[in-house]
Amino acid sequence: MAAASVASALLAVTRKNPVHSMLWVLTLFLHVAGIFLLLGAEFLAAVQVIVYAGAILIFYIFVVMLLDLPDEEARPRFGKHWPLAAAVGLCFAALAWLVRAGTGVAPAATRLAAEGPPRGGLSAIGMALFGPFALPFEMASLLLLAAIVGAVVLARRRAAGP
Amino acid sequence: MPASLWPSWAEMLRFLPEIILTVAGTLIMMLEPVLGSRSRRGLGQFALAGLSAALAAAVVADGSPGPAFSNMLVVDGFATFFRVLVLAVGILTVCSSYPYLNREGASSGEYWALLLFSITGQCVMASANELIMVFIGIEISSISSYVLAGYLRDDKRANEAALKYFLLGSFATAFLLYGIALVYGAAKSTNLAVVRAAVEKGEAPLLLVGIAAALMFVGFAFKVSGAPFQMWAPDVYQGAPAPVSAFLSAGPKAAAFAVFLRVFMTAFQGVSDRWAPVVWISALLSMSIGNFAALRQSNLKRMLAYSSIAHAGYVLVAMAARSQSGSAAVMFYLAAYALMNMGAFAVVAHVAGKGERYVEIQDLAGLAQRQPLTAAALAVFLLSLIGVPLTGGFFGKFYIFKAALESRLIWLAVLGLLNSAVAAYYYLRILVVMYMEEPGEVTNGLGPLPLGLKAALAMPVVGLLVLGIFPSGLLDYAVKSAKFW
Repeated sequence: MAAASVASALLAVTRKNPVHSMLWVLTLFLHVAGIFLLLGAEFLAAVQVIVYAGAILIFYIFVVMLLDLPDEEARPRFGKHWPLAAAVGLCFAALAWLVRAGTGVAPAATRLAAEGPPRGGLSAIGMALFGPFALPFEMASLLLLAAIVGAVVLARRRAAGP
Repeated sequence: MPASLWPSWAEMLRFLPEIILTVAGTLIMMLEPVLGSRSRRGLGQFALAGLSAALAAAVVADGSPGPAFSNMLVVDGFATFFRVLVLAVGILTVCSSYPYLNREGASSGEYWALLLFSITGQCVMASANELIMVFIGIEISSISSYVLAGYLRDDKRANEAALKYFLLGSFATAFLLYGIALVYGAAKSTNLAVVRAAVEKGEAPLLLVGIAAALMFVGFAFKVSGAPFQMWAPDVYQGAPAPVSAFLSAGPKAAAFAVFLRVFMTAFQGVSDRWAPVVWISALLSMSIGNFAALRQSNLKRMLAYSSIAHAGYVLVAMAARSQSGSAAVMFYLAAYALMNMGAFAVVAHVAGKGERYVEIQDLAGLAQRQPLTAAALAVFLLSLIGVPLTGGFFGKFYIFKAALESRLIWLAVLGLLNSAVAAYYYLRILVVMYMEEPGEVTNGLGPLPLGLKAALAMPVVGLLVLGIFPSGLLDYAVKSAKFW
């Protein structure tokens, strides 16, 4: 699963046609959902498929289709700084390898193991969301409301006056 | 449903100010379409009533201190202090925005709603006891502020201000969020008290905690416009509508300092030896950059923006003291600073005229002859910004440098005092233009002061004089509530 997701991520950034890239991102999302499923987080897997693969990706494809495709295809696929970006990415991978459990930088894996398997199931998430985390959950809706109102204020046509 | 999931009435009471603000904001949006154009003007009064009710609720909530909603929030003296402060800033903002929106012919419904939401976010920040709530509060406050900065859509400068604020603000939030994630990784909790215990017992890896503190410092320093993350402030304060600039320089900044102080004095108390030098450097940089850049400005709003960076630097001096008296000095100074800055921006909003055409310092020429009371009010604000005795600004600076000396930050205190001497020059220049020069075209054509602005000038003047003559009441409260353990 992990190898397949890395492969589709690489394909997604190297394809010339933006629509092809988007389709590779779709396979990436599905594989990540598979990883979540293997870890026992069914809810996250479902969200990954429904929200990311279902909604967000369709939205992206929509935007890509609205833009001028031939022009996009003609340009070089990468900006000038791609070696730098690749180097930063590799550094991150190297750091992730360095701080893996057991090197003393990150909390040891034994501490996690002692507390049982991670709870990623639907009921566990539900209990957390409506129990201790009810307030942040509700406040997040206010955050979204403010963002929506803001977007409407900035995007609507000239106001008719006071 | 288990009974424990249902919050008790005491918990609801502790959260009452935020509930009132949210309901008022939503009601304003629902009322706007059904009201006629005449009664729509009453929405400003409605917002004012909502803020006053929330202010009363914040004071009542102080009577039953304690945590609420599974320790997500905590109501203590510190939270009440900042809640009352941001709500007072909100009331002043409504007073000065009301005539401004009428003058610019802008529709007002969403303006009041976004303002109330933004203040809700700041109230949440003031009482947050959990990094998740800190993050959500900051985001509610910031997203509403981004839109308020660009509220006059046809003004190019306002658009530039909003876009810059949004892009840089989101970037800073990302740093903050990354820091929060690392705290969770290190301490296995985002509750401030639990993190503190984990850091002090040495359960959390120090390296991770250090990186997390550094990342969160970047996020907070951006929000309080402390150097070296201050670049956005001049452009945003200059481009945003004047009452919004006033609000941005007082409300979100005070709330951001509240969480800054609470997070660093609770969660990262155990590693305070490590972060103190960073705050020290940031304080010095903010003061110097702010003051020296303000010297060269001819635009009033831009000058006030640089001066607000410098004032953030003074507050950081008190933070670097890492003591109870330092935290109390932060609180006192922010209250005085909010009053004087709101007042100064209200005068700018008045003089600027429709479309904000007159915002140069020279445009104030002869204001004292045409509108002596307005000029006198601005004089009080500027003298307070300098830190002249009998104004709130004097005791603010006095307590800050006293706290710095008590904590043996002698060099920082000396450099801070030198900086205030530099700052006196550009504030006094405005006074000279206002009192010594003959009235120009702008001041001759100035209309009478609208009622809202009268209130927005009178309240800070009274507040500053009270703080300057009887500072002990507020200071005692601040000292009593600046305890984080």
